[in-house]
Amino acid sequence: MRTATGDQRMKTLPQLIWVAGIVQLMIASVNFFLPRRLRYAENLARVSTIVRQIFIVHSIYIVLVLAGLAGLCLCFAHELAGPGGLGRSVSAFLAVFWALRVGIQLFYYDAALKREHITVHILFTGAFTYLATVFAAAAIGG
Amino acid sequence: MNPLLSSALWLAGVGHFCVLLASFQVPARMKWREDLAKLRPVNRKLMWTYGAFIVFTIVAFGTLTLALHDELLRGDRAALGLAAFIGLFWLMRLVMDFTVHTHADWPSGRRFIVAHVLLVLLFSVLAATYLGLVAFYWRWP
Repeated sequence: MRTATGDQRMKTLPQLIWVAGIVQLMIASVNFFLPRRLRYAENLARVSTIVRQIFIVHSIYIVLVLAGLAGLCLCFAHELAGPGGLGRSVSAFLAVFWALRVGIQLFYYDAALKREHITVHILFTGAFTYLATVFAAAAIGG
Repeated sequence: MNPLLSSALWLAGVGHFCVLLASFQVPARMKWREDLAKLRPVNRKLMWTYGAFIVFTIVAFGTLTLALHDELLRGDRAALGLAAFIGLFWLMRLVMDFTVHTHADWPSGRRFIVAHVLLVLLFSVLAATYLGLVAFYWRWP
């Protein structure tokens, strides 16, 4: 038997996952501005062709992965929030994915760069934390 | 349960870890450390971050395929969504191979030719397995 709290959670969690889909699309769209902002062309001219291409392929792939994850969230929010094995497993993957991204944002990227772009840093950290939290909630309590 | 699809999914799950075995050799064989030292720190870190997340995604695809083998085979709506995502991921990798990453840009030598052929074959099998699963249920729901 479902409790009132459980029913409320089943109503709220898909909405939060749907918002997570939009947030992931926004993060993906930031990648369209990065090449100019971080002067990819000028920098990549210094490395070998194969490494340059791997960099480009990785950049494209990250956008595609984020778009795909967003698509899963927008189309299957109820399944991701539900108690089924598939939804919980995919949510767990997404929770770890974004928790790692929070760690990288806080501890890997240069402090000077983050100070220089403090608004972007705060927005990114907030977005990554939101995503990690929502998916962790779906994985644990779905 | 379709036995061919079932076996193909087990193999596809394991196949992801075979891709990773090749991926882990790339930084050393392509001398990334030496090459990436020429980049600004932010771009260098971005490259490692992107690489790490792609590796993590491939680990997740392999693990999810093995752990959710039966769910994927049942062909529920969300399972097909996941299969389509993984299938498109590998299909795009193939497209990249024929557009951005052509063999002319690989280091020379017979072992690189063999490695490239094997990788393309593996990407094709992975794309075909997941998209085949989607097509199977699309046509016979």
